[in-house]
Amino acid sequence: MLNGDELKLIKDAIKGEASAFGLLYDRYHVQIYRFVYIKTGHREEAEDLTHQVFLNAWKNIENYQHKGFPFSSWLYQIARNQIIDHYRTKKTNISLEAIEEVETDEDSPHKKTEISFEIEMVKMAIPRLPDEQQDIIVMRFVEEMTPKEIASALKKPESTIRVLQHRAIKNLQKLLKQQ
Amino acid sequence: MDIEKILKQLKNIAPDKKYAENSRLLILASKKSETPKFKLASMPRLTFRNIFETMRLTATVGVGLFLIVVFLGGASYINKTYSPISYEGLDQKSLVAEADEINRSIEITLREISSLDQSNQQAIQTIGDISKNQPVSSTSTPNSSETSTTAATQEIENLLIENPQKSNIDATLEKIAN
Repeated sequence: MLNGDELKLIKDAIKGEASAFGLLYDRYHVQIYRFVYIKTGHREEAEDLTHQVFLNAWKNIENYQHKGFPFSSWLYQIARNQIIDHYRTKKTNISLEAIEEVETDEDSPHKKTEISFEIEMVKMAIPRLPDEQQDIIVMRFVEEMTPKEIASALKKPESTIRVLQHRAIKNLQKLLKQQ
Repeated sequence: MDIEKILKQLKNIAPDKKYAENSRLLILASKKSETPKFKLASMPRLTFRNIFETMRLTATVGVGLFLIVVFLGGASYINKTYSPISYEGLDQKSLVAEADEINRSIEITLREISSLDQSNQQAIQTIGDISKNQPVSSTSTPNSSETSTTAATQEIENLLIENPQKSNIDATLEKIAN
């Protein structure tokens, strides 16, 4: 849910206050980068696309309409469209070398290695899912957004989101077993 | 493999700090789009401030146009009234009429010259003819034709002095010509 503080920032940003939008950027740029990175698998592409997402958001902030959901829902919509446009013009393959190693919370080196390997496997499998399932996987399990927030971001009914979520996990398990 | 646990680990993914700082600066420095994509959705609200601003702008433009017109009109009037240069001669019609007049006068002059030239030639011819008939003063003995011409001339002079009648004069002139 959108809190009062964020609503004020959005209103100020709509008026043209760059500092207000800067605070919104600070709040959401890591989240959006992560979303884009997991879907594309490329660091540089993720940086470029994330930059474009926020640039478009700043330029079109007047078009934002508050509907009671977090500002991130609107950002995710822009990010999804940006990725679709990107792949429409340029087809890229995921490079194993480009995938960066993700830090784990495990202490033991053995466990760390095992988890890192599994993380890499999951990162490679996610982009092979259909677009909508990718989005739900990242939003629901990585960013821990509520089904209601995901429904707002993807412009789908909440019930559909739950069905898609279940389907996404099943497909991901299949892909990981194949690998 | 606990997929959900692994997926939560992906939350550690983060962008490079330097990239994030640069991106933020660039974005905030860029100007926002001034033209709205969807005009219907972004029509300006009718507030008193907007109306006042519109009226002020209209008035400024109107005053500016009025001043331009006044300036141009005044400049034109001053130029006509006080300008030392007369532009009457520059009227195209009068120029053409003037040229025609000059042409006519030139033609008249040329005709006059031509007629004078013709008369001149006739006079020269006549003088030439007369000089052939007139005796030339010299030491040589005058011949018979010269003598008869001299007598005829004397006769003419006598007639003119005594009895200047036309018939007598015509007869005498015929004698001279023969």
